Amino acid sequence: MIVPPLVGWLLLIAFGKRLAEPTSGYVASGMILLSFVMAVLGFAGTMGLAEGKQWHVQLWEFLPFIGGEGKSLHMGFALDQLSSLMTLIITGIGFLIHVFAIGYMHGDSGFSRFFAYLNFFIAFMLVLVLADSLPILFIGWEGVGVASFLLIGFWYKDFNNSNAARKAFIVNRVGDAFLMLGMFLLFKEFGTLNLHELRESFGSINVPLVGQVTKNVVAFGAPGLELACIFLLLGAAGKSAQLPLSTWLPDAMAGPTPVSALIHAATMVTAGVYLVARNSELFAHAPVASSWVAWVGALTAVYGAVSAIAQTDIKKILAYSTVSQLGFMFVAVGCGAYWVGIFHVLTHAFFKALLFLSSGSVIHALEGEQDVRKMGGLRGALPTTHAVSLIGTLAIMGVPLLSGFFSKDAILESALKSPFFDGSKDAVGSINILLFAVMVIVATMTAAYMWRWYVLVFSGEYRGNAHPHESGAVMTLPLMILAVLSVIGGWIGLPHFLGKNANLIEPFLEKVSANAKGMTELKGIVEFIPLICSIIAVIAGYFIANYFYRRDGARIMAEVPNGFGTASRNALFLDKVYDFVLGNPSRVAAVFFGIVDKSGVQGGAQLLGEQVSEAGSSLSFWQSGFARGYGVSVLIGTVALIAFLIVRGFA
Amino acid sequence: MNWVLNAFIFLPLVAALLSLAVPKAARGKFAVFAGIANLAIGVYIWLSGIAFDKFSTVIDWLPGLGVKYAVSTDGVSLLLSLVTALMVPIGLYYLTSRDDGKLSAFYPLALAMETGILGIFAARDLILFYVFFEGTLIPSLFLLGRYGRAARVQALTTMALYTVFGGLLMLVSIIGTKLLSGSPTFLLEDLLRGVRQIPEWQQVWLFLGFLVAFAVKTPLFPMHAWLPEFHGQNHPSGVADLMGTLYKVGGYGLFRFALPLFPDVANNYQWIWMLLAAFTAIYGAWIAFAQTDFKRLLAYSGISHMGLVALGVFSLHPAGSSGAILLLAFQGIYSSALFLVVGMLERRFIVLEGGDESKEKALDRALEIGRVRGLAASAPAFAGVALLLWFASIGVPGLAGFIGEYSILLGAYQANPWIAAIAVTTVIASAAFALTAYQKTWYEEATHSVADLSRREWTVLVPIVALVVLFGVYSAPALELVKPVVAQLYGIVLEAKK
Repeated sequence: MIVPPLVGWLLLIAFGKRLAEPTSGYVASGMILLSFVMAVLGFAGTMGLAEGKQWHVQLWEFLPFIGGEGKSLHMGFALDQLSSLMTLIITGIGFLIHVFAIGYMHGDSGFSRFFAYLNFFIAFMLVLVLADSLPILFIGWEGVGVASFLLIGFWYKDFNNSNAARKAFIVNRVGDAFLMLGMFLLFKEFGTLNLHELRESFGSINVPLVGQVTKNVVAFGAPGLELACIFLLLGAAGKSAQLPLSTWLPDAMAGPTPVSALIHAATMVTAGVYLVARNSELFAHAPVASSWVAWVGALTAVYGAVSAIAQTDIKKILAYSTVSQLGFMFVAVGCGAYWVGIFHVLTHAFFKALLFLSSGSVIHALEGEQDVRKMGGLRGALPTTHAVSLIGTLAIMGVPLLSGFFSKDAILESALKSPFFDGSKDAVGSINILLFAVMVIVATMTAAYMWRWYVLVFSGEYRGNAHPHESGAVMTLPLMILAVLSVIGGWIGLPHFLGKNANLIEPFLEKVSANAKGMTELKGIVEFIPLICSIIAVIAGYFIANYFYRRDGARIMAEVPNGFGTASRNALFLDKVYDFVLGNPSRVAAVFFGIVDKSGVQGGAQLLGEQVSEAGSSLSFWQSGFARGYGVSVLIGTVALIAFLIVRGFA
Repeated sequence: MNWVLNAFIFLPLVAALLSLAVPKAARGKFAVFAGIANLAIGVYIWLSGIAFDKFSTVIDWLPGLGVKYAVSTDGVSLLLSLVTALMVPIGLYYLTSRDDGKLSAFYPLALAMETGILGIFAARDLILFYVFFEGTLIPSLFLLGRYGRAARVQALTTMALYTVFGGLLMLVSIIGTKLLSGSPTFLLEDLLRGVRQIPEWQQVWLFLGFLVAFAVKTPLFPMHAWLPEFHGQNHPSGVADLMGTLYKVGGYGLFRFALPLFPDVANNYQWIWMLLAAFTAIYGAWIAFAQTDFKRLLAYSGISHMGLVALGVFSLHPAGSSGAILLLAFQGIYSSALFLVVGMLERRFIVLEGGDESKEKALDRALEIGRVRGLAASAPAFAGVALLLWFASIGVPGLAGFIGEYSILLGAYQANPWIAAIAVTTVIASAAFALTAYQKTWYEEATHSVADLSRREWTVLVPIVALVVLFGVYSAPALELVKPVVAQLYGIVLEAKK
């Protein structure tokens, strides 16, 4: 499955220049289609897999002594229910993006290069989800980081783009450092980094460790396990743009193509959610770390939503929306509802891909304009784009029966049911209610800022001066497919009150993911509270957005942001704070250490060197520097040997 | 006595002497040919199977003193030797493209260095090791003195002082070890037998003697001060820096001699050694961030790598120690290659310098990071190769640098989580300095237009890139070489091969 995109990448890197423009796009898309077919076959296969089983291939030795007892960690891949669902999302959405990009990148001088990077990205994303151990997952993890560096910096001549690329990579590396620490600690505690063995080790009694006595299984809530899970969380926060490592994503989206923006939004950033879901057995045994996951998610959801409200860049709104939606997913997995997190990954992939591609289509039509204040009234000029955008907007707002509704509802429900706070089996705890309330407010804000997005772009009168035109079929066809999926995608995860068998995705994923013990059972009317709140949130958000933004164009253009607006537009100034607190001091320290090293440590050495040189040159038979240095060496060495000889002789 | 290993060690030296008889114009070709022939011998040894003992030679050298000529090889020695034997002809081949007629002494000196480095890896007698260890300094100093830049005398004196001082302490320790352990010879195996009888306080001093010598050569903080000057002042082609990179054998010395001889000292004061190494790693990476000269940047980046290597050795964990050897071997490929990339950049930039400036100032400007920007537009292939090498150097998985770095950090964490956590921050710092330098050179608005890779430059870089990717993914052949040696060191029974 990984092979076709890799082949495509190699082909395009090697022969990219010689291929005519659309050909490389076809080659790349074809490779992804091939992968998609394999993913479908794999998915069909895993449907029949029993619980705890997986398809596993183990290749050659990869890392020395990292398998315990003199064994090496092997390069290996595994396919189970969770990973096969992820491969479907990655290759399916990936294929549609590829096709869309054939139209969007038309005429760009780096056409082949772009498709090479896309293929590269998909290949490593597949490595990430198919890895059978954490270090192999880490290959994919950093590989997509490299791909994102290349894609964000695709138009590298622009200083902002190349800066954003570098920032994304470095911020991700902060997360990666924590992920590494997490892996090291897991190895210390469990003696293995194989995902399957980690999962299984909760059932067994002893885990053999390198050079140590066997150690008992890590208990529920053990400090080592909690800490390891928190490390994993921080690692996941880097890739999934959660607080405190969220600042790279909006920058990464603002500059380059919507296509690459999307590939981040729909696939790469969900890697963090995948990481938690993949290690669900660990997190299910680590209540403290899990509640951290949930609260990090909740805070990020608030942060993203607040930041999205006053943005003026069509893609930045969606970028902060992505940050916020990822927060939702973290809440789900932090509450022990691992299948819900992945369910939202799936539906979000549909509607966010749709929205990003639609905005790409808008930007394409307006010849590069990205400021929503200069849009409006595009309903007439771009009928197809408008229709699919409306579906996407309604889906993300959570309008009943569309995909976002079901997954968001499930998340709200899981916030109430989570066993990791103060709730018990029979009663909902107060912290659960607090978390639930926060998420309902965020859902309201989501509806508000998305409807604002829609209103500013499509309704009212056109406020710009380009000549909008609808995109060609190669771009609109993927949009339509995604629109259909955004509508029906949620139907695989219907709520429980519609019948026991209404939910298809939960039993499928629960074969591989843990089930947090002690979920509160919601009874009677309480069962419908999440549903009702979620519908209220949509309606409230709709009216708020209409109240503020459905008005004439001149006022929108003249709008001066108030205090809240400024804070929102600057994403709560997080960037500036980081630069002030971390960036500047470390730059200054680097220069300072550089000077100290040069004048202090090396200066001292040089002073010594000069002294000796002068002493040497006063002995006039050593003329040049190297002879002097060498001469001293030979002299001292010889003296020492002779001294030894003498000592020996007397001894 | 088996002639193969001896031929492997001494063929470069013989070729160096013979090359003096070759006309100057053909000397470069002759040296490259000799280097390739030598690599072939190395590959022959590698392919002959895992039982490398059969290549050993032990004969009396100075019988009265118990000094023997003892050379042997094993997986670790062979891996490092192969990298050396590979990179020398590649470097010399690149050098032939820059030969302005003044480089005729460069080739024999580089070949002589190769023999010295191969000897270091093969020596199993400590005095013989010392001779190779210090002897390699001679051609290295001559290269710097003959082909270095204006301030070379300073750099040379500094380096010589450090190395000679460290080497002297090692010599004292070697002699002391033999006397105190009552060993009849200077053979490593003989010393190993008796060394346990030495009281611990004496072991500490002997260990420190080795440590200082290896800390200079590694280099470890605070013995690193000679290295930035050494690279900054060496020949602009980067080939001398390549030789210097291969000569950074301190990590090997620690692994081969200091650790097995004094395991108790290494273990009892482990946190001190680890802290020193971890600090070197982060210190180097951090300072690299503020560097404005390509070669000094790479020098500090190399210091950071070497800190990690030492950390792996001192982790006393099989994964960490294997990682140390693997990182040492692979960085010999990509760090050396990055010096060649700088040489290729310098060659392009120096053309852009004109006017009445002195050559030295022009060179300063040509090596300044960020003065010429946006090269990816005019030289895309060069940009791609450079990026790949940078990524390898900062340990991106899928490339050769990762295998070692990851194993080292994992091993170090098992020994001491706090110190390992310090070292892990290197991962962030190295990304920061590497990508900043990369962005300033290759990305952003193009200030100049330069030629893409020439055919000869391709020939130089393709094998390097291929190996960096190959070993990053398929590391098994390297593991096969390293694992048995490490397992023996730690007394681990390896799983039988299925």
